[in-house]
Amino acid sequence: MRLLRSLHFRVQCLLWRGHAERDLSDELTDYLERQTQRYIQDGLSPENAHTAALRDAGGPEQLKEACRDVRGTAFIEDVARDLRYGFRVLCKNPSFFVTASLTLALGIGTATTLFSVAESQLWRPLPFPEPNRLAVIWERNLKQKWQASSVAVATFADWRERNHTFASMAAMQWPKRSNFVSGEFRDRPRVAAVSTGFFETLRVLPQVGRTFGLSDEQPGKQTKTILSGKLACQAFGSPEAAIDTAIKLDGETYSVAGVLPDQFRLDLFQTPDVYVPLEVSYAKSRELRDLFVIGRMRPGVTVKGALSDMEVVAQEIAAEHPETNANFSAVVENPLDNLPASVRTFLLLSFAFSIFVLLIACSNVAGLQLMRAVAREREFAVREALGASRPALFRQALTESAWIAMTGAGFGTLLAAWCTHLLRSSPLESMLPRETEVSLNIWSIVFAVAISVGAAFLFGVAPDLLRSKLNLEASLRDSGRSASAGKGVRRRIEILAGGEVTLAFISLFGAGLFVISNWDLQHVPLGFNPRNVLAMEVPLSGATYSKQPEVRKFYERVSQAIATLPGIQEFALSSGIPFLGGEEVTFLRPDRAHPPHGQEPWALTRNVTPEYFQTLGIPIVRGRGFTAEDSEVRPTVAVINENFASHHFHGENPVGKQLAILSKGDSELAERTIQIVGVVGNVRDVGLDEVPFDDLYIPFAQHPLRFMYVVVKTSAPSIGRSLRGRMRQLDPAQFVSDPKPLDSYVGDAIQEPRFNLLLITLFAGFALILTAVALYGTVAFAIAQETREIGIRIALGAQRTGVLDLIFRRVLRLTVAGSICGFGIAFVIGAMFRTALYMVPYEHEGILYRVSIHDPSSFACSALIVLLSAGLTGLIPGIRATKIDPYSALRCE
Amino acid sequence: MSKPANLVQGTLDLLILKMLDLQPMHGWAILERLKQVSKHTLQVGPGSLYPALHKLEREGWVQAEWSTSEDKRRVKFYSLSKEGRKRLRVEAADWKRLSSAITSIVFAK
Repeated sequence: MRLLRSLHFRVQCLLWRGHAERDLSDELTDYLERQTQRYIQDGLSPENAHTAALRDAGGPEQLKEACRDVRGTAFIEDVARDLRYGFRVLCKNPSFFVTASLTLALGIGTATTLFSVAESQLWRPLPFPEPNRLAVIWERNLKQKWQASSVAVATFADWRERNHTFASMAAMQWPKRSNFVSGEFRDRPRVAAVSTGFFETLRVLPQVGRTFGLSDEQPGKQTKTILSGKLACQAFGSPEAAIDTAIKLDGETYSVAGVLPDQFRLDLFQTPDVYVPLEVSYAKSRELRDLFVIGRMRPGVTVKGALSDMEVVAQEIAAEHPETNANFSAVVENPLDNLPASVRTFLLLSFAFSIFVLLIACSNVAGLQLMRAVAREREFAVREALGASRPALFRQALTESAWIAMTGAGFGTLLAAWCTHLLRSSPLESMLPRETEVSLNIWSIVFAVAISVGAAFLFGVAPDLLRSKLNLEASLRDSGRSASAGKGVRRRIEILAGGEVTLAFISLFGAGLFVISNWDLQHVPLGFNPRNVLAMEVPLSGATYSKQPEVRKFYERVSQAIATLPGIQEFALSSGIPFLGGEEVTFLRPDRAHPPHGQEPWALTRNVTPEYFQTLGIPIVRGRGFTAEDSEVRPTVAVINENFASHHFHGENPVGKQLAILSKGDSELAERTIQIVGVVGNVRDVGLDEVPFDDLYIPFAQHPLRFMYVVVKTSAPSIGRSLRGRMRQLDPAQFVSDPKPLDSYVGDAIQEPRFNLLLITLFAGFALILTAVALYGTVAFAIAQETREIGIRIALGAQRTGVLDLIFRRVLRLTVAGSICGFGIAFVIGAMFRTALYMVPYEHEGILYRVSIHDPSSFACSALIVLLSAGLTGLIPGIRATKIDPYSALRCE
Repeated sequence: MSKPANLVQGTLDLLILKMLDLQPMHGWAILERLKQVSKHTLQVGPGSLYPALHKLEREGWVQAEWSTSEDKRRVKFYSLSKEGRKRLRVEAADWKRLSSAITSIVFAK
């Protein structure tokens, strides 16, 4: 209470400063008048009486000052005065002020931008109510290297029924593209089947209409659909217009039950555009695992608690269904743990690099402050001699730093706001896999402010720590320019510069690794020749194509139509193309022992026409490719790739061997035995940096599918449009995608590594420039300090080259020391984070490819660049030093 | 700030509180009254009095009120607050203990 009143009193005094001053002077006047009257009554003359009264008071100004001290506002008023004074001092030296604050702005700007990106991507929870109660649940295959797997429908039904820790649990099938038809509108959006309660679990309500009810889960009742706000607007003009209209998805009719809010995104799991009800029943397969399950935990339940509950449930299920679930348990994870690990690694790495830039900027400004402190040593000595207290001087130094830091933070935040805006509006945002928007939020601002406060303290304290060691008398007597006075400072500045060289070296080394890795990635053997090849999706849907003969007939017409187009060199049909993966199929070798359940090998399949290998330039290594002879009436054959051969036939000749196909998404191929007739070269199946996949090619004629790509090799890339027009003519009801050059798939795959490279190189560039500025400053300062000494040397006959040599030796010493430290740190850090940086099959993707984490050429290049730039920065002040005129150098002090 | 030399440290607050306990007064009157009561033994100047008064006001022991004198000057009257009265009792008791202790030592036979 007393504290509060006291505070109130102080604030009043501060706010009504004019008021308080008038009161004070009125009170004093009153006293003086009364005392004067008293003296007059005692017999003094009026003038003498007044003087005596003043004398009693001990001087009215001193008295007032004593009263002001009591107010307890002196500190704040002093700080305000210091701030004003500090600003004036800085404005007198604008080049220093501008350099320092811009340097700091660059550092704070980069660090804050990267912090914002990392925060929004890695740490911000899902944008739904009470996000920390959400968890994703996977099946866990105890026998495979990759443990978390999608969930089978019947297993999900059991989980939902038997768990005790989730308030609700819901599933979504991985989205697939389907043909969407509504009147004239055609599209091929992502469609996902979701269980009842999916949106309720996330706590998202449709903007109009309803979600799915329990009855929608029952077999044969899948007649409703929910659309994204965007698709509803595109197809119907407004969300309201969409409700209760009929649409067709792959030929099936659905009625629109609801439209989701426009801002709904679930990017962690590829936000679908269309939702249909998932058929949930215990009768469904326990082996076809294609669901992603999300649950809302009951209040107070932790992920750990939920996990032990789910493990018990999974054990029960395994005991009841040993043939399918014996080796399966469950995993419960925070949804954020499902971020691609490569993105996490890269964001953290670039955040670290931006912190390097910030540290370099900070030490740069600290160095500048130190140099200025030496130049102003005399000023401070005079002030101290005149009675300024140490704390007062300290406070003043601190406020000057605060100005620099505040200006730097201000501009830095502006820079960060601009960068995040740029990032948001650029196509690069698609690389950030989260539904959260990259923006400067409260945490980023707190981060920037914390940095600037820390920086202000650092710069403020550094010169002061130095000054306390100086002898007041010596600095007053000395001119303050002699070499001896600045020795300690120079040592500190050199240490700062050395530290900067270290950080710059690490940044350059990192950038070097990315350059080499990118080079290697761009020259990875693709296994096929993408030049002049176009690929176009021509999937079939609807009742017309539910039987194989119709499918076969349609694609025959496709082939005939393409053959008549001019400018086509080769063409083929394929159910998949490189970089886009393929269908997974599990198989066995009938001539070998049956592996335990859950451990059967699998391969990616592609159903292709015989011309596929020729069109893509995939070499046939052994045996033969497909021919027109491999028709539906002949025994089923297959072609494998070299990985397949080496993984499963270890040196044997696979040609002529049999394979038994176990399961596949559609059952037509299952339970068949096929004969291997040839081996072809490997192609990149999902990306440039990948696990070696086993590929299994099957002739289209023997096993036609409803979703095929047309792959065309042509000398005229402009043919794409007429090609698409031709395909649409064949059946206007079907969707045909735009033909896309295969080159562009390769380009897309390199885009992310290239962006990573760009960012890291940018940071390394900043680091190098700032360090060069620091080195320049260090050398220039040393020369300014030693003008007299150099003058004497020249006067005594030293060669100009000798002087230059002296200076270069100093720069070199700094650079080499810094580089060696950087080398050591980079070596240790590299060893520590080795596994996080490279791809680990089935665990995470890498951000570096092939290049060794201790790549010697990268070390050498970084050292060379640092040395070269150090040499250049030493050159200018060095040449100036050789031109020192000994006569004026000796006289100038 | 000059401290009155002949005053035991910290006793000025006690004296002011005691003066104001008798009746509300302005600064000059406090000094006059002190002089009279102590028969000119205690010489407190305005340089000590006013900062001390302001401090007591800040602590909330003393309340101030402005009024106008007969010749139209603004006059600041001080009076004791409730907390001030409590404070006075505490300080007076302290002083009694301290002074009797000192007396017993100094005049010990």
